[in-house]
Amino acid sequence: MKEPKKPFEYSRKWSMRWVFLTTMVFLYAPIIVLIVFSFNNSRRGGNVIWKGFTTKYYAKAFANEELMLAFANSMTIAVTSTIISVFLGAMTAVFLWRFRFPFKPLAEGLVSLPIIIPEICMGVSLAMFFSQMGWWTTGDTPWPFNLSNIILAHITFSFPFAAMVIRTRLQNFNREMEEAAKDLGASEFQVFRDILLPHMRPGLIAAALLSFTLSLDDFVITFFTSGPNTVTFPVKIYSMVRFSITPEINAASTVLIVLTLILTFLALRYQRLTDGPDRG
Amino acid sequence: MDPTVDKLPENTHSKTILSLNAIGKRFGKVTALEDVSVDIKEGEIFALLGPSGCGKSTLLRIISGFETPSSGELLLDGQDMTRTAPNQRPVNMVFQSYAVFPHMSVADNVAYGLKMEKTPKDEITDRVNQALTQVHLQDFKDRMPDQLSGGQKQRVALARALVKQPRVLLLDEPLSALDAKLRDAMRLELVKLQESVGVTFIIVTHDQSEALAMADRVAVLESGRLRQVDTPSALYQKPVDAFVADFIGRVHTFNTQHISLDNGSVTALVDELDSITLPLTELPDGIQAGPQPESPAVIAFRPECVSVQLATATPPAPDAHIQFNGFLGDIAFQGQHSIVEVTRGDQQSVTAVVNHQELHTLQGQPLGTPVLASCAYSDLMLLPPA
Repeated sequence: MKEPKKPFEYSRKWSMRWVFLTTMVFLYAPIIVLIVFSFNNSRRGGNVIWKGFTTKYYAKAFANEELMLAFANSMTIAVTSTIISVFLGAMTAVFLWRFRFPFKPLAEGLVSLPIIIPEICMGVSLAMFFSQMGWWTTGDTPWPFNLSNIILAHITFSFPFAAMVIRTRLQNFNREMEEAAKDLGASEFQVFRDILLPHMRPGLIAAALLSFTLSLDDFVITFFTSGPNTVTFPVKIYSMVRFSITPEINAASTVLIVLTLILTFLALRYQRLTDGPDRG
Repeated sequence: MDPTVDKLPENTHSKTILSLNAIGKRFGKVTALEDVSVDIKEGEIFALLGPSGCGKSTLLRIISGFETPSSGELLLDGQDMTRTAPNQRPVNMVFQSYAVFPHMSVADNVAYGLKMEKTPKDEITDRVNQALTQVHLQDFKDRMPDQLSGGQKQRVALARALVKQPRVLLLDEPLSALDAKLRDAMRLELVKLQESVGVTFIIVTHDQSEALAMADRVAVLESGRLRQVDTPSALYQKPVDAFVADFIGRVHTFNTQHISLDNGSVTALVDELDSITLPLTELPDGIQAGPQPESPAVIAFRPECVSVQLATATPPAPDAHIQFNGFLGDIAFQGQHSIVEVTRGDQQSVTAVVNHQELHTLQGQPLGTPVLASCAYSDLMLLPPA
């Protein structure tokens, strides 16, 4: 005899199982196919006929100078914009958490607005902004300064995320901790260095990983703000796709997926630390 | 009686360590403290007692330096400290949440204050060990705070404050976060610790039994004003008004209608009771003779002073006792003594704390047995209204 279903035991309903299964298939089948066929020994990436296992397209991707330059660009942009975003985000978070000032809710709203603005609007407006200001880098600008437009754009969209993550962490800081340190003789700076900064650390790390991931695989905003010789990894892949789909693209995309997965995993781990209770 | 003046005879050993002179604090339109003046003596345990919102925490924060008074001054060892920053005061605090730094080990927590003073490393190690031994945490040096119980965290907070050798140690509701059994043990231990280190303790609490059990002197605060500063026994036996009487222990009160003073004896006409002659030669402060105003002086007595006997037994002398006829209510056995409720008409009752002997005559009697509750005139207190 089977036990009767309990009220929330959806996992035992066939209809629910089907919904779950189809969702997973639609979500992950394309990605799995992409990864699998990066090892396909075929000349065309769109070819869905398995012709044997090979890693030669990885070798080919890594030997592709343009692709590698794009990758180096992406990494440079991601690292630079992450450092600046986390720094700005931390300052913003501490400022919003610590001080009271007129129109504070408005300021909080404005800081997080870039999170909800469609990327296409951000991209277009940044492109227009750079044009109006005459800030476009030219083809002669030496590397890595030719990336400055993209870096600025990436800081613009990733710093609100950083600020939000760090702010969340600050929210569960026990103010008595700060007073206790002062009571024991610490100055304002020593309180920040010895008490507040260690408390913020998981938030800072999570914010950095988040900013890095966002920057690494951003396409839309980068597309609008990249100059003549500044191609990033996602943009390069896009142009290669337009030309012809080869397993090399699959291989490059797989590398990007793996990198993003690792970083997201780390970010989530630190995020969990951030949300955990923090009792003194 | 002016509640802000300390009535105890000056003890020669104990000089004043901390003087609060007419401290006042306003937050916007709200007055948190008004004209609080008190002298705290070196080496005593001083309790700030009052219901929540009475301003006791604000006063503690003023002493620690986290708030600046709106008026008045604060003298520590005769030096003006009113505007000194908290990190410059030789005063340390044990916070209500303990505020142990979660990313530092127990030893690092205790050492933190000494590091801020730039104490030499060897001395830090010695003093940290000594402080941890004082609070019986010598074996927990390398633990992280999340491996400690609430009581142990409190000891870390204590050691961390004491290691700085403060002139005054402030404790904000030190026992409120502990469970009942630990609370009683910690109460004793805090007193013993204070005796061994000799530092002046100022304890903020809303729990009167805690204040009475631990403190040498207690200041009773109510809506930002100091009602009375006295030893626990004086607070209990000679409260200055009905508020203090009611806050410190239990009390029964009866409004007076008229008070007269003639020939060195005070006679009061009391609601529900007859005219009572009190063993007083003069009126207490704050009480006017004659017909009483809308908030009248009260006659008060404690349940411990009430005796209960069967109505059939010989009553006590009527001209020296107030008496209530009533019926036997619930008896709660408490070990040393028992609490007997005597119900009177119209849903009123008198509570008596009786000893074994009295209990013996009442035990086995059915509920509602007619009894007589009485209290000697000498145990009555004539108090100004709350």
